[in-house]
Amino acid sequence: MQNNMIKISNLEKIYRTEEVETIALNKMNMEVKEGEFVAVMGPSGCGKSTLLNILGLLDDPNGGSFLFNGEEIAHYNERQRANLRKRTIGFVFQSFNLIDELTVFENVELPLIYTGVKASERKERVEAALDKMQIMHRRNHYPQQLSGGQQQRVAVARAVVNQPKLILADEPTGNLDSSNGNEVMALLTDLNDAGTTIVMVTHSEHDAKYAHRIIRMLDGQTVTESILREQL
Amino acid sequence: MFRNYFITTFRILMRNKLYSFINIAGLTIGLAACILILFYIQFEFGFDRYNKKANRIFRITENIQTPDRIASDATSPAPLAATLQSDFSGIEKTARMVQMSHFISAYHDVLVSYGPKEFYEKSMYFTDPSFFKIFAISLLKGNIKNGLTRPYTIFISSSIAQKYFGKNDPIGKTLDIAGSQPYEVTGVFKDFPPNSHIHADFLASFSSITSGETTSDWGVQVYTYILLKNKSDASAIQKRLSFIEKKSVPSSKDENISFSLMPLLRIHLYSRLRFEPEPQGNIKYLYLFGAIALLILIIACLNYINMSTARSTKRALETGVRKVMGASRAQLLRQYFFESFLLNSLAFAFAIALARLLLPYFNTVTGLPISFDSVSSLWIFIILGVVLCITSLLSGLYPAVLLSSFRPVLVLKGKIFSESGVRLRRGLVIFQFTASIILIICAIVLERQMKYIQNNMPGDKDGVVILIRNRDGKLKDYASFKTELLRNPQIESVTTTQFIPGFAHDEESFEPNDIEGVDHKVSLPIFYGDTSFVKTLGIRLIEGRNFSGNYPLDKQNAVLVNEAAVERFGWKEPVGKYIWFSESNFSNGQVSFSRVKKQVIGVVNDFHYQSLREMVSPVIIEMAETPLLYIAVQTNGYNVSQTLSFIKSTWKTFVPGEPMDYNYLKNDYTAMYRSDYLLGNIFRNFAMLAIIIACLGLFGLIAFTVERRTKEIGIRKVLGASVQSIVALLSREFVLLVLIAFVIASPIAWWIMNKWLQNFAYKIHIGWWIFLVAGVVAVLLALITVGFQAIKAAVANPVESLRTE
Repeated sequence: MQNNMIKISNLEKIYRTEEVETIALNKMNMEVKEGEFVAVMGPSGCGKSTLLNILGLLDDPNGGSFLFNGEEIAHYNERQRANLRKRTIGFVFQSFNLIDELTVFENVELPLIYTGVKASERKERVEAALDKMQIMHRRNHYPQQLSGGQQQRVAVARAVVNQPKLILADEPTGNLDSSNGNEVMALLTDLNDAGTTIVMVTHSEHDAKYAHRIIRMLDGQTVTESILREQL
Repeated sequence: MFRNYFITTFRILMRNKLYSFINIAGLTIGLAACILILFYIQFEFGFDRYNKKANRIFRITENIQTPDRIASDATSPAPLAATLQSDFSGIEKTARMVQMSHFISAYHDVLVSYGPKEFYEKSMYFTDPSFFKIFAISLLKGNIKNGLTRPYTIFISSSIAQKYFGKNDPIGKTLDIAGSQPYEVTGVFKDFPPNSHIHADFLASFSSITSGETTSDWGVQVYTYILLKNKSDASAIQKRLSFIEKKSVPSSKDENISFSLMPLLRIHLYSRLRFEPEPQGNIKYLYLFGAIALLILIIACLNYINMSTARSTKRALETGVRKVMGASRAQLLRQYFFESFLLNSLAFAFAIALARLLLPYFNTVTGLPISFDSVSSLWIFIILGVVLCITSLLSGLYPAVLLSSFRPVLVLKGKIFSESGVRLRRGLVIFQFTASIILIICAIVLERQMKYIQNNMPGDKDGVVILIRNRDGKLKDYASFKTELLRNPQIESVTTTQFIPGFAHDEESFEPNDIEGVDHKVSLPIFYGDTSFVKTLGIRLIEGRNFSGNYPLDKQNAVLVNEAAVERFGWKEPVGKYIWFSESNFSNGQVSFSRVKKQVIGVVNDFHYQSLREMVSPVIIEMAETPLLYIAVQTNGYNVSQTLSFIKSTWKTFVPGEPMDYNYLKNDYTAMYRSDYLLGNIFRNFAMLAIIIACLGLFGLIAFTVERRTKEIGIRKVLGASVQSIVALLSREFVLLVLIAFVIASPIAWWIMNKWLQNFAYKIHIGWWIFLVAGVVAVLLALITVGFQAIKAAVANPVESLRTE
């Protein structure tokens, strides 16, 4: 039995503006085991992106508990969260979010720079990641010179270059055609097979089938969970 | 890490060319202006510092207090130096200096000749050999010990040696000075540095002064410099001076004289004394220029802040990604500071090149001899380094804080807009335009006052007055000379005068014996002129009549007075009143005095015989037919050079062998307002720079606004908005900001200029139209700047605009 990597209980997130109060997460509970591939689905506005942001330590909850590898981090401050994030979590976004001014190589290198990896080792690791994503030949190109599929492969390379334990993917195929989408999904599955935990938010039933488990959300809560296949 | 910052910065600059250009150009212009003013300030502060002993050198100044007023002079009695030296052991050396022209010429310059080479020279002084022990002027040839002791020996500067002797050795040669006295050249000294409060080209031995009594006569005024053994002795000497005052100075109950010490290093910037050897600077102007430099720099930095924050929405995504990738806030702050530092450094390099390029122009504007090498000392580079750091910090701080504060969750969703950023940018634009409008208003007021000064120049407004010096009374037959000149139709009138109009000093005063209806003594200047005096100098007759050839007795018993005199004397009907003078008569070697009664025949307006800084005080004009120091020739202003050559050739027939020494009255006149012209020039140029930089920023902002609102503009057009309404939509806000700036700037500018105008007894009224002009100029420039982009956006095809999303 694997350990819980993530365990959230009674997690709350409320957005307030002057007139409206929106409950994004309503005492949500959820667990993710180490090495698991979980897909989160649900209609727009159900709170899945909020969930992902909190899991990714980009946002903090208003209440509840968030255990990461058994440690309570709901009360972490920004610096602590940034520290934990850069060592353990990789991100893949729907809109890729590559920096236009940096080349493919430099984009992938970025997380290593911020974790203080030496230049020689950075080169090695970036090249390995680009190799794995089969985008090495484009290393000196700028993002806007690449197709969408290629950009997402660079983004995945960037997400994995730091060898994170957890990858959070926010509709990774949302901006891609089906063949490029399938390619990215295959890459994620490979990473998961190699031991990386993945939580993916998606609208696509097709993509969700790559996961071990699907969590369906509505109004900030889990409504159903379905296990597609057993984790190895 | 820094490599990554560098790459990012460089690529952002390359990609956003307009943005980079505006930022760098603004900063470059601002920094270049700042560097030039720094040069100027350094030059002014560097006065007399070439003297290694500068801290121990003092000049003795004299304060004269009479019941009427207090006067402070740069000069002091000649015997003071010797008395001090013998009385007080704390003094290492003393040296006296006095203009040679005071003793051998009626003018400020003296004719010096060596064979056929003849020049009028100005910077000529008698001095003691100890001068070279006090001041760090090095002697190139000759020796100090016996070079300047004998009478009629003289040291000359190396450029004078070159001018008169070329490559030949000047030592032992003889210069004829003032047409008669030969002086033996016994030494050559290095030229005085440009930033010295005094410049001498000729230094003759003090013993050459023939009037005999000079060393003992307390009435002879010289510059007295002393070198102290210890700087701290200054206060002891000050005490000693008050003792000497009591012991040696002839006392009078009307006059109270005291001496004080002025440190050499304070002379140039702080002296407000009479009789300075050369016009000195003014510390207030340095502060003012420093403030302008700072203002321009701030305007340029605000551009950077404006542009960076305006673009922050575009940078937000990058920031968000970097944060997600693990960048800490400190790392991001460092990155944005680095960026600002890099951009500033780049602008700085350009600015130094630009300053170098503009230096000759700056020198023309300021009339200064600054060279790039002379000011590029270590400390100016240290200061520039500090300026660089400050501008980097100033311009980088807010954008860095703002950008690094973005929450990645929001920016990655594209939900970034900061209302406070918009408010801040509006504030910054208001500030920039406020500063620019203040400078514009000040520039206009200064310009008007200068114009006013010009208009009050003596003489006909359209004509050109040529002033001929009648040296040593060489022109004997003035009446025929005048008749001859008046044959030329271009010449309107000719007069003789003993002062340069607009340039007279009030120390040339006399005391009439009695004035009708006035029961106290009044001392006032008496001017002499012939029948054309009034006309030639543009003086208006208010009442009575002018001197006239039809009244042969005018030269004996008629005077004119000005309005100020009428008021001072309290006369209701001035014409016909009497004034009694005491006149000396020589007969049989005996001097006798007699009372002479003169009648007021006319009243003239308060013409400005002095600077416009002074209230016009009472004067009396007497008639003279003999030629005085100057002949003033009023021409009608057409073809002046032809007229001038006519005057020259006429002069030649009357005074053969003596070159005609002349000047345009305008030159002498404007020289008196040198520092005011300088101020005007600086304000005009820097107001222009300020508004250029501010408009550059505005251009960037509107470009950004248009970019951000492209979609909105497209939708509005699809819905039927006209081009005008879109231009109005985009321009309205900016024009409003400039208007707000105008409202803030006007009272501030009024206050500053009102204060400056208090320097003048005669000044312009700061009319409302000046503010209007400045406001209209600012709004127009803003409209042009904004309009170009706005129209471009408004006429764009909406289909294109909408496709950008």
